[in-house]
Amino acid sequence: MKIEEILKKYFDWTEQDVATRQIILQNRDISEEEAVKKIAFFESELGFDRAEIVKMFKRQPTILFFSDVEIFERVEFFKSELGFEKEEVVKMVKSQPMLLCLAEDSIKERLEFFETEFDLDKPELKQMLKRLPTILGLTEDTVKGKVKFYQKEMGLSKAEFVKMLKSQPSLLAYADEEIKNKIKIVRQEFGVLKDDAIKIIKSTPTLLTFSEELMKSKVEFFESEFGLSKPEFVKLVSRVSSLLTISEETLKGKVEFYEREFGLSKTEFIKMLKTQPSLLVYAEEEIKNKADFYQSEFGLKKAEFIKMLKVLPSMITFAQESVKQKAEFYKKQFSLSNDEFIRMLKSHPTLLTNAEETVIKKGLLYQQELGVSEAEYAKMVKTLPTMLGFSDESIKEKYRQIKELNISKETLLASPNILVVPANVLKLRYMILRQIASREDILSRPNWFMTSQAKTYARIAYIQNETKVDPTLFRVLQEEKKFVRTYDVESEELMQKYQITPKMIALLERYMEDEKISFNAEEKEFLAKEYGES
Amino acid sequence: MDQEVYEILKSFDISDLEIKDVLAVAPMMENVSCDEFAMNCFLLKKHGYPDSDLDVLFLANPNIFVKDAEELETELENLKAQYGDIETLLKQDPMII
Repeated sequence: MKIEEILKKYFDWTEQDVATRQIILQNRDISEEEAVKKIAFFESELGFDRAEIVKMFKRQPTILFFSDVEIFERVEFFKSELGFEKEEVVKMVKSQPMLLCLAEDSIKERLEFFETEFDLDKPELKQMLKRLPTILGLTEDTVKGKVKFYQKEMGLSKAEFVKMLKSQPSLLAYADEEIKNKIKIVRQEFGVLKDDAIKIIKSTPTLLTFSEELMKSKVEFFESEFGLSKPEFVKLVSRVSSLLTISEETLKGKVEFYEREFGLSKTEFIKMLKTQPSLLVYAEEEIKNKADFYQSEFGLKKAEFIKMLKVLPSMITFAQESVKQKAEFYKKQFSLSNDEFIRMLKSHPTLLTNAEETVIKKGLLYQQELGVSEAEYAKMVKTLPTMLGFSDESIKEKYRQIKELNISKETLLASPNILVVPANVLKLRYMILRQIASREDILSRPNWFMTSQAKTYARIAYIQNETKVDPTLFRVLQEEKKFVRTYDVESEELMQKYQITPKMIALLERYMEDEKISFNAEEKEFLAKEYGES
Repeated sequence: MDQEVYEILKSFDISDLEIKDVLAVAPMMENVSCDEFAMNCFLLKKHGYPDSDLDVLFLANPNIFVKDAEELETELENLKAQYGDIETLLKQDPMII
């Protein structure tokens, strides 16, 4: 039987296949018995099925003329040169039969080029080849030309290109026009400018493999399923690009999982997702394990864990060892008992986000600025863990206020919450109260700073003008419910009637001259904006 | 952060620096809508915490304001049943909730 007939009989060749590959078949011959043996070899030794064999011999008929030993040698070469498993080589050959046709020297040369050109180590090279076996067919000039194109079109440095190449080897397979078109599609579908489109592609090189329809459907899915606007979608995928590669079904399943496991409504989940997009990436088992860990490690009830998760969704991403280490750090650093730490953690899960070094540095700054000892600082943190979140600039600003009001360390230790009064109004609150009480009485009264200046002023004015009693601290600062019960008028109504005026602020400042308390330029600017120019 | 929420915080006399601090301790504030924020302010007021004094409470424990409304209401009711006046309680210990 002639070779053409054998190809038609065993490998589904058509007349056209024979005609177009005539040049390959010239001076070649193979017997029917050899063809049958070849099929058996690929089936039994390399695990090909019949359809795969037909496909391979249509694309690379020359393989038909290789001996079994030659084929084995080529498979062995990939195994020994790059550490591939036999199954991996077979998979690559199935997708790119030409791998069996390349000369070993030529492959070695090409691998060396990639290694030196892109500074890749053997495992990286293996990974790249596994994902894109065709790179072995690219010439050095083609590859260098591609790098230049990406530099020009996307402004990629060589290092950026290599980084992208490692995660998306197909960068080398696209035609220049194809890339330009992908950038255009990202711009259109994501509603961003070219530079932003490039940024998104840099962080998500997988996008280059998406068709226009796929990109469109991704945006639509996130819009309809999670109610995200385009900018929100872009923000989300820029932070966790792998979201784009997860199927819609899996994503929907994840939302259902959070509802089933933690009773999170879709609205709650979406809010959390915007803060922590990786919620959709973790495997369900992994999340369950993490939830179990927090509950057993800190003796939390499930409801307590869920409450914390709603405040800090990223807690699901923390490594268990790191959480344990952080807990030990806080206990040691602030002399906390286990129960004290857990109490703090429940109301303030963001404790887990602070780097130990930052907490230590912040502690030193507080001690230096506020003049408190390490033990005193620890005591303050127990009452007000929020203070660990203040920036250095903020701490200095708080200190300035405290210092200008001559608030003693003892007062501060008794009421650390004074640190959370908006810096712009603390002085004003104190100055208003000084109209009716001594400095000592004010500072010894707990939480005097927690009542707004507008309310304090209105109550003082009301009591002075409309009742026959003195506006004492007790009367002015009492709880709203009690105030209404006593005077039968709501503070809100009084605040409408008696409002702070620029004139009154000027008077206050004059009155405080003895205590040498005055507003600085910044505070004056704020007060003028808030209450008008004097 | 939602622009309207930002405006409300500014009306509380809270500075940009303080808002930045808040986002460090309550990252969910970044995604709270104005309606959700306003609802939690309303619930606090409904249970006795005056809205004129929300600024300090917000800066002491911003996570109160990112809670689900239903959950916050339940917690406030429980605290009220257990301790009495919400204003006194939250001014004494803003972290209790």
